[in-house]
Amino acid sequence: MKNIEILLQGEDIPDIQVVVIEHENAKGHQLLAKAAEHRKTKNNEGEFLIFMEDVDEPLDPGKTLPKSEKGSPCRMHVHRCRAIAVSVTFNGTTAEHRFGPGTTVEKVKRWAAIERFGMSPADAAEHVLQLAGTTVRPEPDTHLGSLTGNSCSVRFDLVPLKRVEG
Amino acid sequence: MEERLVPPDERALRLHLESGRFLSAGAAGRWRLVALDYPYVFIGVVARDEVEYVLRCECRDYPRTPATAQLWDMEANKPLPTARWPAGQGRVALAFNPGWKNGTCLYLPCDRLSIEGHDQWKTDHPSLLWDPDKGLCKYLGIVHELLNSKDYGGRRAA
Repeated sequence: MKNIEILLQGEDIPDIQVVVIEHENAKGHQLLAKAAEHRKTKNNEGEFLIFMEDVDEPLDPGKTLPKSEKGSPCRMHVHRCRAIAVSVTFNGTTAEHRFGPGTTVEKVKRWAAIERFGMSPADAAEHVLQLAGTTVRPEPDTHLGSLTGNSCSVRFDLVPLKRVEG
Repeated sequence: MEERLVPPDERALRLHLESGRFLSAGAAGRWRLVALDYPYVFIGVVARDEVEYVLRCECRDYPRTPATAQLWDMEANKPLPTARWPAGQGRVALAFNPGWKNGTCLYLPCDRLSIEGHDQWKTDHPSLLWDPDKGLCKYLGIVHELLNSKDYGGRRAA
């Protein structure tokens, strides 16, 4: 019997968890049960949805989980919000959009920097998303839903990377 | 056969190398574990031109004490010759500076040797400081970002 390995992020789940589910034809319900074990507060009220990374529509939990590609683990997200309202502020201008909770910080940065603020890809690489009002800069593969706390929204500033001198 | 007792710092390092954060970056092709010979761990970080630079990270007292890392030539098992270091004009050249402590560490706030005497970095670059919870993943993420920046100009001698 083959196991499937999943890199899981989600609401109230710290960092990225490696989840192994027995059987390659595992259903979404099994992933939801595993996700509940990783939640810090063990708050399981409400309906949790499963998302593939960077996909806005949730999966049907009654269906078989998708296979991983090229031997890499699947990247999934479990969250109660169907979408996350994102705002990114740069030079006093704020761009807003709604993304699936499994959307990566890297994808949001490219959307903001290139599509909304008109940067070249090279210039976008010289900027980073920082949680508004903090100095926290989530890693590029962090999912939006891991950053929301008890809400369905997250606010970023787009900031330039500084030289380390002195 | 007598089983070796794994000290807590080595055990913590091994746990981080098996963590979802480390594996996620590995699956995305950002870095890979090359070898572990505690207190050293050798990790290849991939630049935007697909060149892999191996860091020899010294992780004594991990993760309470920050790691320190230097560019390494795995074949020769010695520090990477300067001619094969990453090139750049700004942030990359500052971080990969062979003149800083004879090239034995990277000029970054997350590096144990470099943070010494640089108290102002704690306020100037809080996002680049060592984070015991994230450990090497934080350090490697900073290096990967530099090697994939606009400033990165390939190998020096290429």
